[in-house]
Amino acid sequence: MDVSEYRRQVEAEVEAAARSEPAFREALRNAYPSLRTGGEEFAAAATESDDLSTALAVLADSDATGETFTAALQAMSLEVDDHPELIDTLLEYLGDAANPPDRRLALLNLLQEISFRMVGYPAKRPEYLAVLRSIIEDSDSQLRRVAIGILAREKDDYVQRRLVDGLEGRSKALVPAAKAIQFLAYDVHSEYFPIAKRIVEDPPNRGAKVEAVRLLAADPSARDLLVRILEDRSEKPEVKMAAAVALQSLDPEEFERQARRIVLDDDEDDQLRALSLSGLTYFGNPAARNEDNELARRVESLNSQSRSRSVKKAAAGYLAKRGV
Amino acid sequence: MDARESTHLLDHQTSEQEFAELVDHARRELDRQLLVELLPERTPVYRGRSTNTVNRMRGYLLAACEAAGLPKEALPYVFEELESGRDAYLVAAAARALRGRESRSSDAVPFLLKATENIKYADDAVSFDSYRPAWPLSGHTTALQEIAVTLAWLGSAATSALPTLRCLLEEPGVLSEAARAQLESVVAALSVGGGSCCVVPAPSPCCAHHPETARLVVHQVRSRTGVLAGVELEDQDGGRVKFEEFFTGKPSVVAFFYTRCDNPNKCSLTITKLGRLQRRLAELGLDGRIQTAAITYDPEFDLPARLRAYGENRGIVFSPSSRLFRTRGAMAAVEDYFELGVSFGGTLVSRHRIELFLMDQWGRMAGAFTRLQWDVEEVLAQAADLTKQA
Amino acid sequence: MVGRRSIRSQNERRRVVRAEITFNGNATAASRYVGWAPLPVQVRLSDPTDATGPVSVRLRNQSTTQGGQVVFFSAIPDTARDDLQLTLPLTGTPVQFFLAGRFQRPSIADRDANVQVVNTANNQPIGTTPLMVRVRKDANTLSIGERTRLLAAFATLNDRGMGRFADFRNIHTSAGDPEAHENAGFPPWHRAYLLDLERELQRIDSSVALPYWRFDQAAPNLFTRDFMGVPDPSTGRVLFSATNPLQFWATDGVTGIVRRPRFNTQTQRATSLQGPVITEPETFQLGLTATSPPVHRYRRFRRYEVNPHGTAHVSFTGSIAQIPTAAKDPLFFLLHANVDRLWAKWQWLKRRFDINATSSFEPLGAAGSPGTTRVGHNSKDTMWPWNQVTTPPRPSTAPGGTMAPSLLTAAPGLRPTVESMIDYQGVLTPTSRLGFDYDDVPFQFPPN
Repeated sequence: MDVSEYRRQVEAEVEAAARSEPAFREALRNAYPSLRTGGEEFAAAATESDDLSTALAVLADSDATGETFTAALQAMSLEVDDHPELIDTLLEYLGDAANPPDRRLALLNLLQEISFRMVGYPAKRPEYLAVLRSIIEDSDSQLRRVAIGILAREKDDYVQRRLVDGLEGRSKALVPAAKAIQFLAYDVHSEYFPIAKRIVEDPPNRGAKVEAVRLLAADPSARDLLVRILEDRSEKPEVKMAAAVALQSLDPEEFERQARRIVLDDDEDDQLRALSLSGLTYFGNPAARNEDNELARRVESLNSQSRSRSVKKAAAGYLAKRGV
Repeated sequence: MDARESTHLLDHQTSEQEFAELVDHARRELDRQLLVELLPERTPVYRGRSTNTVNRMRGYLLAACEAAGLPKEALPYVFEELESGRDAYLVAAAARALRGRESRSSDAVPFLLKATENIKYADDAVSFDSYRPAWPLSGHTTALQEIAVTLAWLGSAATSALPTLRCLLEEPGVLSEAARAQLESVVAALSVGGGSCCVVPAPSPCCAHHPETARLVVHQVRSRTGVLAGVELEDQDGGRVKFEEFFTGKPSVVAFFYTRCDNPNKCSLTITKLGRLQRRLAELGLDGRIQTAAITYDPEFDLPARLRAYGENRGIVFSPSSRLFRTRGAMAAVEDYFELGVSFGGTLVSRHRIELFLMDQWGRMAGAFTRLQWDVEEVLAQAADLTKQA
Repeated sequence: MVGRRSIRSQNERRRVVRAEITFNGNATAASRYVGWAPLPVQVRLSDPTDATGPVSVRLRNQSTTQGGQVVFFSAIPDTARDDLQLTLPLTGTPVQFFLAGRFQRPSIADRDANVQVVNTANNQPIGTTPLMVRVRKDANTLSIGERTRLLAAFATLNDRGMGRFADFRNIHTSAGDPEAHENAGFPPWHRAYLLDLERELQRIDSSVALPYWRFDQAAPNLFTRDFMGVPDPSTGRVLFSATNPLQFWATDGVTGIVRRPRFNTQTQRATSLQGPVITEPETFQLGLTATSPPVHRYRRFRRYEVNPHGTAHVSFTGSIAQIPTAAKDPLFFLLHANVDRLWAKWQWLKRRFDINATSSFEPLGAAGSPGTTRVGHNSKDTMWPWNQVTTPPRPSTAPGGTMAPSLLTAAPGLRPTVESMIDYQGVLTPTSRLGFDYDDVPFQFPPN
């Protein structure tokens, strides 16, 4: 298309999107006409500060519809930069367990978005974290989980203790074991390795085991455990794949040995073989790759004869890399 | 049981509750000596715990110095935390600990201002009312608030902080109401006239170390004049060399670090500065005569490829006389020889101080820069002196 | 005897003259990449044997149906032509002209575009130079080959947590936060960040350009196991197919990515709990002032940092939803490529490339002068970390070193200023060209 024509097209799209007011303002106005400075004059007289007072009124109104509530959040999102004290109101709402959980969750999402900003947020960060800590035991599991996640990514001490206590049975678990260990692993200094190992030896469920195996990539003393898993014929492929990925990070040389063995073994799971081959392709020692004719022969036959698409794809990739 | 006797019995099996009770006891009884004994990172009570746990223990300990009095041995730890720390609990504790000092000395000001820089975008709600506060709390403080209170406590000794504080007050969105109110009253008390903000850089913590820190350092060095033997090192290329082989023949500068350090003011900065030192040595034609090295606290994880990547990303140029090492099996001997300021969780470092050592051409420790940020030129000067020895 | 000599001279006459093209003064294959912005190119006779005088040539696309397409300019500014006639001196002195990709006809693979030099005397080709019309594309539209190369380059840069990607991850943490966010410098800082990353990817595979996640539309091809992955329903752990090299992605010593969308990635645009990201046309509308008549200004447009940028981030749970962990997720870079594209497209639409006009950027000047703000966010300021400044108020370390260089352009230099990010196509100042383009943001000369 001619560029001038393209320009006209884009400009037309922009024009069509022009509104006399943003969608959320219309939604707010429709919900609370009495709060506005009246009818016809509104369109001319409406200022952005009206949005703020309306949005705050919506927040206080337990009968407000979901749509109106969302519109109020959108309005507040744009108001926060000029009115950072709004964050205090949001925190108060979030911390009050009497408020509906889905609204608190939506409001928390807004606070997450605000935390990307510099204006206002640093001053409120202590309060924000304090309120989050107060809701990690909230009865609503989604709210709990989001709050715990935010704190965990900030490497919060309080939430780490509660997660560890929950995993070790000293207190009620706030989230499922797989999530708990995943949250702890945002901080490699949280001493989660012994817990992860226990979960691997005695898993409450497969999800937790897979997650724990993966997270042991950071623990050099887990190397032998990861190798044992890879050599265990009875272990589930999902678990073995997590072990392979972890070992690749922890001990690349050992990973190469294991990967090679797995690829050569026709009794191994196809996805695991494909993963292993892929690891060798992207990160393997190039000299070893070029000299390993035995492996190359097997890979060639996999490329032509395997019934697994993943294995064929991995094989083709390996051979292409080798040919380079 | 005599509280002092009991510190020798503290180890990784000591519960945090016991530890906290001991600290509470020391605070009540003004037992500063007990607090001093618990400060070094190598104290067994810190072994086997997570970083957050160690931080909480050490922070609770430092905060207790406000009431118990700040022993002079604790001052380097306090300054360290203010200069390089990024954990709000510890920074708050350190600021609080200063208020237990006998004298209101202006030497603390640059450290308090640096702490402000470190923590203002990462402040947090903390409490020292009990060892394990349960949330929600009825009241809490923050690192910036504690710093503000300490600046107020310093009174006229904090005058040099005025320009920086004025700038801080003008920065939007950073100060909570409580911290702002506190700082405004500090500024009001210190101001003799008008003056507005600017782009004035904060006075940096003195490059020359505090005399008390220097004394500690010298004492350490005198106790170690032997050569460390029986330790094998592996470098970023997998090259193996014995400790005494590498460190004899030429004087060396050796720092300690690990790639999983998550405080950018510590290991990342240490290795970056080591790179700067390297370049300065080259500029002065000394790079053939003085070696630069760093050894990881985390030898099992910091494989050669990791060492190489870490160094390259921070400007290290590798050569036979510029290497990053991990030990092969003898980390404990290295820890003992250098009396490293490090504590470990299960296998991972939980806490460490900044530490850099000078080795003479006979492989003996000849100097140390510990705890506070070392200055490249100062290290350069001392290293150059070593080349002049017969 | 006579016959043989005449055959020999006939052969000599048939021996072709050779011509060679150099890009931006560089003859290597590594420099043969072009976007929509005109690139200075030279052509010369490299082997004038058998030419008796200056050679008249025509430059053209070798194929008009396959591969990326280029257009030619004898000088700039000028109308783009499908072919160009030049005269090449016998001495081998280069003749300058300009080359650009034809808008909407980019390459799909390296070297799939070809510039052919044809001797107009006998219509014989005397030189063919393969090149690539390389632009940042909509990630949802990538071919399998483009996707494979991108993921391979990304995974190699990450290298199981040991590669240079760690620097990019470490730049975008709480320490660097005020350098990059919620101030005037947000758009240029992130443009520099992406440029640095893209150049590092190109050092691994020069055919790779950073694609963008067009978050105001559904992107079903992006959120698959073969690309950016799908979440495990119970843990949010991102799952990849066995052959996707992102399987081995690691940051902070731990493998894997945690990301769960709050919206249906197959059918919806990015949507947070406060609602969806605004559409692209709505985003451009943000640039309007509230004056009468309204005009487009930079300081109004950069409100897009809230929505769609912030909204896109929090339309997930997981690493990408929080500043200290956002850069652990490779999707972060595709998200920000779209954020940058929105700025670029607004710039093109409203012709906002003038580094001395507040409508294009403000505040102008260097920190400390009247009207300026925090250092790093004014047009003349250099940007951390590339400036390697680590004294307050800058952070205490500056990971990654200076800006990655490029063979295609000397801009923005090792320590780029904020303003060096504005005229990224070289519209007003050709040497400002940064060497990247978006597939749907064309280049246009300023109107006379």
